[in-house]
Amino acid sequence: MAINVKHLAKLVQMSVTPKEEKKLAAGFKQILKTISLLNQLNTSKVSSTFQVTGLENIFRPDKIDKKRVLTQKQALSNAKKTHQGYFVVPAIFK
Amino acid sequence: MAQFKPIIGMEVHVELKTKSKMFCGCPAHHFQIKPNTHTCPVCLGLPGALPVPNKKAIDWTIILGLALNCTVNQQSKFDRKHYFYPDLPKGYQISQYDEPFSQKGYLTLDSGKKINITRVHLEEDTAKLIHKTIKAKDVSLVDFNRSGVPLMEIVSEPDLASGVETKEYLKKLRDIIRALKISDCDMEKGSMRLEVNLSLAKKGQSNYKVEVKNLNSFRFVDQAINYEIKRQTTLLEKGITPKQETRGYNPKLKKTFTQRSKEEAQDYRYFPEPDIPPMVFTDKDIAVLKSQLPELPETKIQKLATKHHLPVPTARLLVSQPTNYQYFIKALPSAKKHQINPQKLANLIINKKIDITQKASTQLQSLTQKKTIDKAIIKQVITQNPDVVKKFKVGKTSVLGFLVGQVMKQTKGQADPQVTRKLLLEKLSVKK
Amino acid sequence: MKLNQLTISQAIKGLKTKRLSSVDLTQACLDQIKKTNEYLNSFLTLNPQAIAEARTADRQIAASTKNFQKYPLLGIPYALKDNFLTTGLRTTASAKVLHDYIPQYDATVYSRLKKAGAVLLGKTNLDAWAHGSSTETSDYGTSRNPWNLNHTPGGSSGGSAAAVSAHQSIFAIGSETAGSIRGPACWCGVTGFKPTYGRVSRYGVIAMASSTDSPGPITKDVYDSALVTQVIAGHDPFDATSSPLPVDINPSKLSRYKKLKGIKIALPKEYLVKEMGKPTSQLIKQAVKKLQSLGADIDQVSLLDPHYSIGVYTIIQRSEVSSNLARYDGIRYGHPRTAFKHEAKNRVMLGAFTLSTGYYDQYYNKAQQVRTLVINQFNQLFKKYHLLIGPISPGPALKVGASQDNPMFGELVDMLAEPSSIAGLTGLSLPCGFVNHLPIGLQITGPQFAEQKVLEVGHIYQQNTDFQQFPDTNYGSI
Repeated sequence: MAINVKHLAKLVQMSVTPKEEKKLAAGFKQILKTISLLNQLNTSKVSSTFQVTGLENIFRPDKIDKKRVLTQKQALSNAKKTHQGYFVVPAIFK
Repeated sequence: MAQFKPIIGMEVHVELKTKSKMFCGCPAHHFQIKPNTHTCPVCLGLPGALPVPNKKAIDWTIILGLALNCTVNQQSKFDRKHYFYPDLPKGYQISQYDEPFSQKGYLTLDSGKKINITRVHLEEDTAKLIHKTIKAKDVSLVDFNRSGVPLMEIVSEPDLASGVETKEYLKKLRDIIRALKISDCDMEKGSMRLEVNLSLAKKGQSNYKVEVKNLNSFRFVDQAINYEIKRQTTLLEKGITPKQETRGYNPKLKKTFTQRSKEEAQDYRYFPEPDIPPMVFTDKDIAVLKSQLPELPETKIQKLATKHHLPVPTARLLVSQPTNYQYFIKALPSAKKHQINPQKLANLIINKKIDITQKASTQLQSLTQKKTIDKAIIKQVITQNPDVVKKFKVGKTSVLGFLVGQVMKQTKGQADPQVTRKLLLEKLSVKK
Repeated sequence: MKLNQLTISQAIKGLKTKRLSSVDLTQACLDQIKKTNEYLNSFLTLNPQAIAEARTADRQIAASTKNFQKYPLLGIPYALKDNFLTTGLRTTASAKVLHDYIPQYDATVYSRLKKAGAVLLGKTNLDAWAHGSSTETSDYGTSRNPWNLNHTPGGSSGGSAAAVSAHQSIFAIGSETAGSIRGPACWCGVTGFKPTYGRVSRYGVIAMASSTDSPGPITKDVYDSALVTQVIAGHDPFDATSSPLPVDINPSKLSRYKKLKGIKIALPKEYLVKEMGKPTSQLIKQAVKKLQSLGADIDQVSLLDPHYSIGVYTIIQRSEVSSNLARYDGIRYGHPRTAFKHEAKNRVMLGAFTLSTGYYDQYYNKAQQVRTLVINQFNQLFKKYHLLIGPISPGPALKVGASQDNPMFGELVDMLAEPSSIAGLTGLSLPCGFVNHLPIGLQITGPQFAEQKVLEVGHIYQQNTDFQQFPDTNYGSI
């Protein structure tokens, strides 16, 4: 089974040159082969573990945490483009 | 025209009015706040930030599920929903996929029709985008104050059949949410957002679905639905299946229009949120939340039917107007005293035979008082009070009130005071 | 002995008795960095406040030596892997996408070290986004192994491990997703400790695989590992996966036993992989003999072949990576996604594939099911045994360039760390000998929250061996 690298690149919004595409495709083929080893193991009666902590019901109370709130200046401090307190991006048409 | 049956479902998003955001301690209110002043590493999606869920938002979501007769899932979790958009700081939205807090509920319309609720789940809101032109360039401005605000999503089954039904469904849903005090459901402020899914079919299900977004009022929902029914009918009659797409609504033109259609279905790559442990709710937890439910419209209706023997349609009418309902409850003791049964009382209120801004007792009294009064009683009162009669005859007309009072006493308040007065005057002017 | 060659406990003794000052200590480290960083490329950014922080420490030491109780790492200079956020000090994850990112908040680990009085020397190099096991995928060039500049220091915490091995810092902080602390510690001949997942807060650590990422110390010996872990571990309300259990790591109790009598240790025979060379195998056998001579009961057991864990780890890690890198869109910080380099593309795309509609069940879900098998096996094992030992790497440090054209290089190198990482266990890597003048390490792994026991056994092993050695770093004259 060949992975559609172009489609994936679009899905994750990354750019690939044709050369890269070729290299990635070959790499994925190899990786999928290694991963397919897992099919040797019978997991039909096994549940999935998504979290290893065993924790449940971790919440926070509905309180305002002033200490972590950033100032507008801090929030914008690493943006390439800002305007009157906003982040700026090329126009999005809804 | 009646060939094609409308199949309508509603997706409603409601902003919860918690103090803090869904996954961080930033203030949740964002209306008319300076941009990007209510953010933190978490809701701004900074590298390394982690979400911790707001317990109150979860409780409120479950409470609404209970109010909508849903089953609360005893095991629940958050999931990541991936897509790229400037208003989504992490490139994924923390939402719920296959284990939402509540499922399979219903909301009953006045006609008695049950609109099934597929699910009620919780997610985080996105940032706000504003479109502007700066130095001749079209740009979008992003404000993350709204990013991370708790957002409840209520999805209905496609059980609605018209614009009118949909409006009623929305109104009832909004009334319940407001009664629970978990959101203002203010469409102007954006704390309630609507999305209609609509298709038509002759029988059973359709093979396509049209989504209409950006509807800013219940009235527009009704209008948009009516427009869509016409538009889709026209296409279907020509043998054309309407395009599966998302449309917007123009209230000025009263038309829906195609929005930029997506080329292919989104692959959200849902998977369980690894940063948030799963949630487990015991029967006790759910019972505690259930006990926090205030009396809901449906409960009121049921009570009126069972306790006061009101026919359900009457009960619904009464409950749909909270002021009428409250007046009814308050007036019940008076009604009993005046031997007026609850159904009669309800009808009097509904038919506006009673002024609900005025006290009940006097109004009810006069309504039940007999217009014919036993002449013997009039005679008796005059005979029993010679001194008072003498006083009246010499010109002290004010004592008439006393005699009226005596008649009232004898008739146990049943006598109509105006008629009593008239009869007494008649009798007294005759007698010497 | 030069001041920068001290361990934490030696330095604290010196500071307490006023034989040395934090400024002296810090300056010695900075001098060593100046002398050797061009060869090692271990540091990316130096902390301009380092000497000022050292001065503050000296003031507090002068005020009262009781201050060491309040600030357990007072005046000790250290290196921090550049995927930990430091307010006002550039943090890049060794990726050009974050080339000029100046964080607006501190990682919890960093703020706890600050509170403990430690002095930040600077941020160290890593594989970009921690995607690798050699630092060769760093967008700022690979780091080099202090033992042999032609070899890599391992990764992804290669810069941190090299810094400790070359005495550029007294200790360092790394992070491990699977092998990223223990691997480079092994290849650089220093001590790497991976606490239980959830033992140390991930808040402020640039996420790689959310379900396995574990911050931890890289130090010159096990005692120092305990000192640092005690400071950084503990519940964090900002990290919902951090453990609410109280921290029971106690450095002073490490020497409570002199021998290992009564300690039952398992040696999984499947960990003696076919990729392992004979010399490495010999060293592991010697380590086993040593532990036995100290009283430990060591049995060979059978566990799931670690080659299966490669598949599990690759899928889970790449899936979570693809998600965790979605926030880098260049809008609020950083450069656009066009700045991502090959390895990041490799991992993000594969990870998106394993999560995508139609493939989720056979990949991501399947991996999580096999994960359950691995966890269950460990649970069974630790019912009978206190700990597990074995090699942590099939061989010593590879040459620079060995990773090229291998799309799974990182995951293959870390094979022996992956099972314990996907199960969220705790473990040490400590030096146990040399192969071709390059260090080799032994793993001592325990069940969740068995940090104290792991550290005790490691400490006893180190007290009875002499493998904590450090290279000659006169690179200019070599």
